[in-house]
Amino acid sequence: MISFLIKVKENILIAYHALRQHPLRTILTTLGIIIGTLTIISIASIIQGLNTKFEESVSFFGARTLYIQKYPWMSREWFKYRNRPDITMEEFYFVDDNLGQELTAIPNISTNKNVKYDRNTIQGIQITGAVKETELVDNVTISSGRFFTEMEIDRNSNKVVIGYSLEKKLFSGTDPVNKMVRINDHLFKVIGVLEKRGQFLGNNLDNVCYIPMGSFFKNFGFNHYLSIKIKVPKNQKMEKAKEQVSFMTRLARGLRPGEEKNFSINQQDIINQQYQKLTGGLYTAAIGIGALSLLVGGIGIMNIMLVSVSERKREIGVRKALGATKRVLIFQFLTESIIVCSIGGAIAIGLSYLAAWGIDQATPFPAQVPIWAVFLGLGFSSFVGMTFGMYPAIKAARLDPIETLHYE
Amino acid sequence: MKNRLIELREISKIYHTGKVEVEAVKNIDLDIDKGEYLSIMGPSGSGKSTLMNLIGCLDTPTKGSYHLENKSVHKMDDSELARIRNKKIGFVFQTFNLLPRVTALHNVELPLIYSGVDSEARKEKAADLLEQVGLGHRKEHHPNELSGGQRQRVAIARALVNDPSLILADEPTGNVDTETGADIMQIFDELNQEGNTIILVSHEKSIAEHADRMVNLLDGEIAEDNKEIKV
Repeated sequence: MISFLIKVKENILIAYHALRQHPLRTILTTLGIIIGTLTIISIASIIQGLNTKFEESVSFFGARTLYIQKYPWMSREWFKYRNRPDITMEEFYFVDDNLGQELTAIPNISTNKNVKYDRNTIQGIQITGAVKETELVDNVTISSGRFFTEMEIDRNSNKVVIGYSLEKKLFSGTDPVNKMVRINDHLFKVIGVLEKRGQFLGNNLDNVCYIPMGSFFKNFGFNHYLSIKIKVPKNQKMEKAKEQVSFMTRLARGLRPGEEKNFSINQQDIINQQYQKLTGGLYTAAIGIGALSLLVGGIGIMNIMLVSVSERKREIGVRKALGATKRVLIFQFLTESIIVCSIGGAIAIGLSYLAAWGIDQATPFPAQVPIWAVFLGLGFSSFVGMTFGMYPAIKAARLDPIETLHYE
Repeated sequence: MKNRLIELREISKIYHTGKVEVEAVKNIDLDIDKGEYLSIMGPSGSGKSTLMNLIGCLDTPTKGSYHLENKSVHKMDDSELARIRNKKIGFVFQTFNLLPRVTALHNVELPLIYSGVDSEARKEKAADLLEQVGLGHRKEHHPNELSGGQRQRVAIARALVNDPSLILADEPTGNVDTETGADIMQIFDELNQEGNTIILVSHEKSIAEHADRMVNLLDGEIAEDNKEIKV
């Protein structure tokens, strides 16, 4: 093992001396490898960033939340379902009353409105009607002020809990609590501010407001798409809860056994699946582009190594005359091509940190370089060095010392 | 027989160049004892280079047997031959054949690298030999910073570094001026006096005459061998 390490060290020194002769050539040779490795690591970084964001957001949305809705999620055939009846408040009350203690149901309704304070207006804020249980089901966390009391909800008070970005943009530093804002010209009193939720796939999760459910109907009418949100506690199986909810909804609608259901029960899973598809596509693209440029890079390496071998025929002859075996020579030239590729890989890793930072700053995609991608990149590039360096190395080892010693 | 270093029996080497067969060396028998100082002479095309390559284990014979220190060289494979070249034979070439990108010291170290000697012992031994050939002050110089004579002395140090059984010098003065050539030959003379076996390959009589025994080749055969005369 120690003598093996010594040999590796010797080979690295030899490679260093050889590569130092042609620094520009070495760098140019590595370009293909750099591009290939950079592609792989960058896309892995984007996916990693998305994953982190996605997990945060999913936990915010609630992976353990069921939605009773008219349409199924992620279906392209929405028109098939357009004749289904809308979900009504009566159905909500029925489901809520009969579901039992374990499952918490809330009506879910929202609309987009402009919110105004003083002379500042912020457009397209998602206004959601809340009941007392909304705090639990939506995992509401308050940074200042408070959420609604039961009395405020029962009285349909014109009070509002605002999202983080409204605090930032409308109040610029002053405390919004007890200030009056206008939502489509209806006056609301701010009683609380939500903690920052961040962005997800271009959606700003902080552009939101909660108002009491009754207040929502009072100010914005009944003509909104209603759904029912159900939180499933951790100790309950999602599938079982889903069955239970489905059963209750059928009952609420008076469907006979065997009759086709005219509603959908959606859950985060579907978004998950869709998301997996998206990132799966990205991965495939990364592997495709990366493999292609690594192939091109590898051919470049092979080309340069062949040039290097024929330039150094005499050196190879001398080494053979002095006792270098074929194995030793293959090892030497392989080390050289692996080093060239690893230099490319290392440069690519450096650049990928830069690229990830740039992507993070300039696009809605969050990007972070995962450590495994660094190793993957290095592994990939040295693999390319090994594969494409093999032929030139074998060629070098097979040279006839008699001919090469007299080679000028 | 105890002193026998090399024993060639009916050695032939046939090259195929296209459709033509060339028998560069024909049925040569040659015995060389330890400590001998021998020169192989002959005009170009006489087969002396081929014979040198065969003795130096850079090439294998088409026919015949070659024993070096009682080992059957003619039966060896590539890596065994590499080992023999490494341990038993020290080459000195007409064109020096030093590696241009590394120092004199590293050039001398090379055979030791391939025999697996560790770095410290290697450097010590190589530095020692450079001292012996009078280049102790040039250890860290690259070949292109040395004169022809100095380069050849580095090559001699390299040939000696693994304590070989045989030093094989192919036109060692061919690329240096007469005066330097004389210096080089003096080194070989001294090495022989110290007990080293030396084979000189040359077409110059004045160089070949440094040896005690001269073998003349003509058309791939030994035309003259003055061993008997000397004894």
